[in-house]
Amino acid sequence: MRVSLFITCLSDVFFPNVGQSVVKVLERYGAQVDFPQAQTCCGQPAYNSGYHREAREAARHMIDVFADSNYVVAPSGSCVAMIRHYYPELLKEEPTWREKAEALAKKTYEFSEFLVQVLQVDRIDASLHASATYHHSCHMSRGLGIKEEPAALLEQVNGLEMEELPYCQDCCGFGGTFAAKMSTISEAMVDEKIKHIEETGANVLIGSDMGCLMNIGGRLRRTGKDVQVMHVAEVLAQGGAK
Amino acid sequence: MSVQPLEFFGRVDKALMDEQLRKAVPFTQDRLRGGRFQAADELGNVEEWRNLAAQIRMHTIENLDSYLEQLTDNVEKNGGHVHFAPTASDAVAHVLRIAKEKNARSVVKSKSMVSEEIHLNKHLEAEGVRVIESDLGEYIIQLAGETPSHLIAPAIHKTRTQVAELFSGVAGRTLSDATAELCQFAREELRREFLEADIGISGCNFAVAESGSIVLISNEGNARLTTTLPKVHIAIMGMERLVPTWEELDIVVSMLTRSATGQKISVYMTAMSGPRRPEDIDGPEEFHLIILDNGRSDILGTAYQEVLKCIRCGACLNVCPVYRHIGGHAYGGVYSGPIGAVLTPLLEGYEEWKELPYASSLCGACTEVCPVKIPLHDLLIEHRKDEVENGFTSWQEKLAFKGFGYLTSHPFLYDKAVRASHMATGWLSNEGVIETGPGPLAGWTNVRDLPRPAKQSFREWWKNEKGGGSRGS
Amino acid sequence: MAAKEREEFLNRIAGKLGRARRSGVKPPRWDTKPYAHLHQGLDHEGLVQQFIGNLRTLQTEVLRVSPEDAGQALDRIFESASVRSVVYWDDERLHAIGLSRLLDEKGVVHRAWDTAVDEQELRNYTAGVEMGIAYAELGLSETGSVMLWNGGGRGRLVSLLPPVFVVFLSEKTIVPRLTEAAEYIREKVPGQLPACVNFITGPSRTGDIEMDLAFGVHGPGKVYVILLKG
Repeated sequence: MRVSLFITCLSDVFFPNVGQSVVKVLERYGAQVDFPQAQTCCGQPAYNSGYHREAREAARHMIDVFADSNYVVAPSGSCVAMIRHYYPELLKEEPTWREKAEALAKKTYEFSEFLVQVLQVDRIDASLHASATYHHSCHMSRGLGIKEEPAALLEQVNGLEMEELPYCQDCCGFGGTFAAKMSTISEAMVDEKIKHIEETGANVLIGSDMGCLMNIGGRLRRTGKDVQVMHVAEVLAQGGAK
Repeated sequence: MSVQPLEFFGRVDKALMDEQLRKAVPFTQDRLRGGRFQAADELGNVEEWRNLAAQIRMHTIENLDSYLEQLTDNVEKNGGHVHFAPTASDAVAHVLRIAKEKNARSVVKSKSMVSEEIHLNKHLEAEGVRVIESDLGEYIIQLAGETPSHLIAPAIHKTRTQVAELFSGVAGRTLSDATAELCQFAREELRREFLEADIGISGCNFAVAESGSIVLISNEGNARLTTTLPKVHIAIMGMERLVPTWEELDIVVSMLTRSATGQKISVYMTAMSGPRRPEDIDGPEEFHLIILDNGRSDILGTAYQEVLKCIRCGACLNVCPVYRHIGGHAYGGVYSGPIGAVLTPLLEGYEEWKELPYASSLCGACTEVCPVKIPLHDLLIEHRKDEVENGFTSWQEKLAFKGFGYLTSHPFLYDKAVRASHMATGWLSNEGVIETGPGPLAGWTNVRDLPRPAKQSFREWWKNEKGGGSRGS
Repeated sequence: MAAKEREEFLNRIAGKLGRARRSGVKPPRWDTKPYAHLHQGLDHEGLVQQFIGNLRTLQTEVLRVSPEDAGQALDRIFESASVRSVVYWDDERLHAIGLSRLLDEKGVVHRAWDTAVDEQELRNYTAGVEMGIAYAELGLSETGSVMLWNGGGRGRLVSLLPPVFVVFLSEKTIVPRLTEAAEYIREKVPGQLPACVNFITGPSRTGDIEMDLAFGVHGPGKVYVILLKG
């Protein structure tokens, strides 16, 4: 099964290890991964800030980049939500582009979603000895309705003890430019999120969106807290048979 | 138009530093949202309810002229008087005129957000008419000289000690802070006012077009007293707050009470269809319905039309993580939380309210819980788009996003930029972390560390490891 | 209302909606009944039990008696509430139970809501009594609500001013939920709706002080339902 990787700008620039883990895991479970080099950014920062003309430029380009892909997989709930919900919306006034956007939306998947629903991986071969908790990002849980899949994958990881995160439905305070524009409010939100993480006693925070993890991770580091932050792909790439 | 003593960010800072508020708001939220989620579980099919409620409200809005015509015909058939108020000052003028005609000295009010919207109390008091808020929460904030901080529970920001102080001031003796004693005092004090008031003013939760009825939802009973004891009852209604028939009323009331507090029904649901009948010896002798536009019609036919479906339940406030930390006053207007952030700029423009649509991380919790499926967080994005198009954003930001648009549609340049990002940030970083960022980055780094862009980006790794990409640009 | 005022107001709405004025619009047949599953398994006795259970949760006692034993129910209530004077609806169903005589036996001062007397005097009396008694038209099983069809001798203030409210209800008139009450009301439209219909569910309550529940801040803080069998 051929899969095109949409790396997302955050992972490309800041967290290439997440991308490497995605490739390793997808290949382990039977996918052949390619990486269209011309890809850029899904355009969400512009869209969320109200710059829809610029967001359309990014969208049209990305639609072209993945035009020949059978499947597109991204390690990011928010980027997939952007493509799935907002690309058709952004291009609704241009019928040809609208059609192409809908075609891309249909074949674009979030990483955990892809593993469970398309690759239908029923046995995860990984091990990580840690006590962890999972952060549901808003775009993934509400925007895409993907809540069960990460848990289904993580519970199979050998040695990993998952604790449920209290108030998991509350936003971590990232919100893209919100974190910088409304930094004091964002600070209050991320501090409450960290409080709940600490209540679980976990020493690893796992998530599916690097925006959230960058936000929470950055605050954890700033406040001197000793909690490691990992993407689901990084966890699934740990240990296991070769 | 409200005059704010503090700008938005000043209000936010004040709220964030208010320790008591920072405890009271989450406490209230948890209570109310817990109720709502339990009520939804008990229904078992809340999505079906939401779909129907949304359809009902949308149908009503799309036929608003017809249903208002039917409503007002029936109100008059019932013996009531109807007054149309295109603007806030029209509504105020109607009330003042009626008050003058009746030589009213005191007016008792039950909770009405539209009356706050038109600043009614201030105008009545300027004419020498005493105004008494009778809803317990509204009474508390009236004594404190404040505005409501929550749609449903206006005084959540006040402690019992503060309430005891306020009430003691009126009582002329020291009251304890026990809830029962404070409520008993309010009961006696306000009962006197109810019995003597010349006019009772209420809002309107829903008007029913087919019978010319005004329906009020309450738990305390003050709405009943307000609309039964005084000789004159004035109901002020936002023009979109109606349903076609009792069949639709059933659905929207069922959603309102569950969404607001988790109750299956409020203690009192009162339907008034005109003034007293000839055979009645209680109830108002005169009934006036004031129908307020005040900017609502300008929302019709726009991308924001769905916001008029709102039934003022407050569920969006109860799930909003931003509201959780800044409370209602930080929003600055009559309506707070997500609905306030969407509605206030629509009713009053961006000049005073440009920050509100940005005070959101777009988490979507509001959209998910709204009983009538208003896409609140998407409407916030719509506002941001309109602010960009109407020149409310800085030239620096416009330039930055112009650059973003160019970069993301020119892969050769994008690629170069990604590859250069590690080197370019050397001067900012310390051991792979940026702790102090320049310009717009400062907002981020004031609160958290930023990782330095990786030495080898993913695309570079792919090129090296996998020998170059498939299907280049 | 000024016809011109209304025309301008409604024309503006139609204009903003981008179309001509509409009149006489009726709602469509809604294609779902989301309440349909809610009380399906319950027979009428089940509905009655649910009604009673809901009120118990709201600190409201339901006394289920035959009409002949209404006096016993009142005895129970008078034991727990300290009552010296009562006002009650001038309603033939209450007369049929012999309410006036029963109240005589309790030794309390009592008056019916007599529309022939001076209204201010009756209001003052009502404002000073401990208990109001009425007879409800319908009961809603889902919530424990009663529907009062006010008007004439069925005064609104009877269920509002006194701190204790006692409402008689025939168990035959208990329906599943608000949906059935709405159907009942629609049959009376137009022309037969009174100026005020009240749905009442337990005692007056508030959480406005630190979300701490309190009863009776404005309306009656204590409610009893005398549920008549058969």
